[in-house]
Amino acid sequence: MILKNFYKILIILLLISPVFSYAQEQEIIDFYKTVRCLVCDGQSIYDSETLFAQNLREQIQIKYNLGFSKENIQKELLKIYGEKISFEPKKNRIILWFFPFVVLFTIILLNIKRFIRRTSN
Amino acid sequence: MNKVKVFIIPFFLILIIIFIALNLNKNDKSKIKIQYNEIPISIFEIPDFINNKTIDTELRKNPYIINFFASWCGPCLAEHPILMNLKEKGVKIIGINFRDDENNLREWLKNNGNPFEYIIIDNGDIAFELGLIGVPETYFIKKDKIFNKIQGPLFEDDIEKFL
Amino acid sequence: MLNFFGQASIYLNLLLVLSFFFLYKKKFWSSNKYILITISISGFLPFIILVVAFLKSDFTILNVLTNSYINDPIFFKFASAWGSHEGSILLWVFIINLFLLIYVIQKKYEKAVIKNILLIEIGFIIYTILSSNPFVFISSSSDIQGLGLNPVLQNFLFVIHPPILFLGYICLIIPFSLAIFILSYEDFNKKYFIEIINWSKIAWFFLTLGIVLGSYWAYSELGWGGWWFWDPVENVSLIPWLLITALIHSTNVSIKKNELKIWSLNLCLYGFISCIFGTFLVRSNLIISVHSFASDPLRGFYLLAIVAYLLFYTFYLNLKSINLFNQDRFNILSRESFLLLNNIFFISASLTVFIGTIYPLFSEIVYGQQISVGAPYYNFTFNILLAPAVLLMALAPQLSWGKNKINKLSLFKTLGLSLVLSIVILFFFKNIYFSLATFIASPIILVSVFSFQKIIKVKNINYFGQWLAHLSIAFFILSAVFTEQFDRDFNVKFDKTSDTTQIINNNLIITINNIKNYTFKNHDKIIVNLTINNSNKIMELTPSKNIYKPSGQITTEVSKSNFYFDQFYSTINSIKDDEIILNIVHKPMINFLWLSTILLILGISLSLFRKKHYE
Repeated sequence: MILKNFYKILIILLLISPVFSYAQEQEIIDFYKTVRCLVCDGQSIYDSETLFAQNLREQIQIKYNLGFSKENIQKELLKIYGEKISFEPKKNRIILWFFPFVVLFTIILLNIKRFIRRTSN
Repeated sequence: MNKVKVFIIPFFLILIIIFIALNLNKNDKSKIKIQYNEIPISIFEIPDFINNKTIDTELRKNPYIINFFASWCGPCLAEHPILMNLKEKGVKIIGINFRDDENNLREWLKNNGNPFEYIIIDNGDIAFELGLIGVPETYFIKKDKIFNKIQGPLFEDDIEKFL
Repeated sequence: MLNFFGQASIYLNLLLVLSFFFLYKKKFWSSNKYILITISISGFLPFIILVVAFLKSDFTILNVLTNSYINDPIFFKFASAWGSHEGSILLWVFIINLFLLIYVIQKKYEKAVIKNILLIEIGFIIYTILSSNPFVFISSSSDIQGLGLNPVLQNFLFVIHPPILFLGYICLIIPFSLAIFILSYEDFNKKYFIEIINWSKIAWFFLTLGIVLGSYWAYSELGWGGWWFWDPVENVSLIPWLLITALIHSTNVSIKKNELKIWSLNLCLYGFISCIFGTFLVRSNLIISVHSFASDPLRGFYLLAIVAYLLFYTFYLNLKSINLFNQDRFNILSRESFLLLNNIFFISASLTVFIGTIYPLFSEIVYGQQISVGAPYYNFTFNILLAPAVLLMALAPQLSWGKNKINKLSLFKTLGLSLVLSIVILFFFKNIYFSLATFIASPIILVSVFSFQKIIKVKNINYFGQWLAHLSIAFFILSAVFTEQFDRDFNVKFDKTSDTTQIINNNLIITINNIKNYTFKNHDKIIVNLTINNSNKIMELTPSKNIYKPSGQITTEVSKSNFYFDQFYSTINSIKDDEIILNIVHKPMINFLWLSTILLILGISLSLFRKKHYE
């Protein structure tokens, strides 16, 4: 009973709680961290000091200051550099995104017999 | 001994399979699709560094080359003779000077010669739109469409393909 | 001269190991302790000779020439032995023999287990001979100084991180060999499972320590500004870690309840295979990573052959034992069924990391498209998979073996309390992720606090280790989420001529005091001295750049300043004639994160003590 009420309270609280906001500067830095530096093994453009990364950071900053949203900039990056540029794979990579849950449920299904004991004890 | 055989025979079988796979894999690299972006219009709008003229439409009718370079870049110097050669053969090259100092650029052109029909100064936005990953980078263009790009310095056989 | 001895010692070792197989039937040869000890000691020689060559800077060996510099400090010369690929494989062989020796010295050992270990060793010796011979001769003049160890590696942590990680990987060879032995002879004696759990705990200890050290190294020395990057190399060390964690929990069930036996054995098998597979991925250059120095596709394919062979044999054993599988029945609310559930989540998580790591390769071969899989993917999937596991972790130790019984009141109490806590935290910090983390982590903390008295009373060091390890996981989750959610990065640009002070906001003022140049034996150094004033707390930081001789390579050195659990962290982004750009990062609670990993390692090491209650 107590638990049920807690859920209600939680939902209400979530609805009225202000969505946390963080500084614009931090937002763009977090965005840099999702963009891969194509000329340096596996680092993001934020971590790299190569010219490629520097230029990309500058261009993104310019676009961002012009009022483009993060999503728009990301779309443009994907168009220009291909999918490799983003550390976040596209959502249409179904095998990749569904695999973990498919695996989880497969293993559970395969072992479901173990959890059900026929003899009552 | 029999047990040992059970271990060793599949081992060699797998080795053979893998070496076949290794050889097949060599051809696979060409399967990766290379992406060619559209040429940003700003190239044709920005006045040239030396003559202060915009690129004329006559040039765009024939195949031409766009080459990114900078005075601070070593490999650019390495491919420089090839570009000079191309100029003698009558190929039009548009040079895009990437994040450079104007004085250094003048000096560089004076010392090494100028293979470019036009030189456009770029602070990074043209490079961004073309998807440049480093200098030098060369784009081969026909009817305003990129049909090949070389990342890194050019070699003679790249040119032969183009011609 | 040394290169000849080195070569000879490799062949000597190969000869001795082969003779073990050819004389396997003769009891004198294959079961005699002293002969087995001789074999394992002969496996130490190649690596020892390589180390001697590095210490003496013997530049007639190509590997020494390319990986060390005559003026390097002595312990970097020592560590250079595993700075290259060839050296690290020799270290691998060395450690296999080390564990073989320890296994043989024990009172009882199985001949067949030794055979399995030596079989894997043969694979690696042949690999050394065929594709990565460290003793290649080169005629060099006497004034040559060597090309130098990769400057990124010139750090104390480099001296200990790779060997410890290798110890962790290779220690699994014994559970692996034992599992093969048990499955092929179908002798499911309890004593073997006790042996398996003891060895896997040692592996677990080293692997955890190795991963933490690697993470700390990346964070504190390489200046990448984070402690986990989901880089392929980190991923391939995480996969065995998750599998061992699952293994230890399931083996407990095998010992206590005589159930989940095939399950545990399979975890041994796949755990070790995942270690070798990880090495294969890193060394083959198939997957781009920050760690992939000195790689060569042929090597990768040879390692793939070893992996494929082991997989083949494992599949064969799986088929053989398929009838024995899935016969246990649990009560749903018993401890073993919770442990099994936990196992399932951990295995799914490890498979997720696996698919994320190889998917780019798969996509390239099948679709011809290059893609990247990074933090956003793992943060999403991995957290969803492990969050329920963490909740189960709080409850499982409270349940009893076998019985179908749960204390509903205490369950609701803990869940209710943690819900309240998470809501309070949501209002206080206004961050949904940290609030969720509180919800999943606080049951463990609450349960640990409630059961502390009981733990003290029992006076069992193993229980205490388990208690501590679980508690530290909760601390880890809290601090990791806190750090990631509330860290702040600043890119500060200074004009060298005019301004030396930058005011970021009311609470943060950064001042450059001076810039100095120093010259050392094997590198030059530029140091920037700066002061950070964070709400009147003053911190001095000295980030620097090193320019190494003889390669001219530049490394960025991090400077840190602590304030309780918070940390300010600074690197030089770029330094030019007229301007300096500094990176300044505020990482709150990061030290608590390291503390929690230390507690985890401590907890694991306490559980290493022999468990009397097994027998």
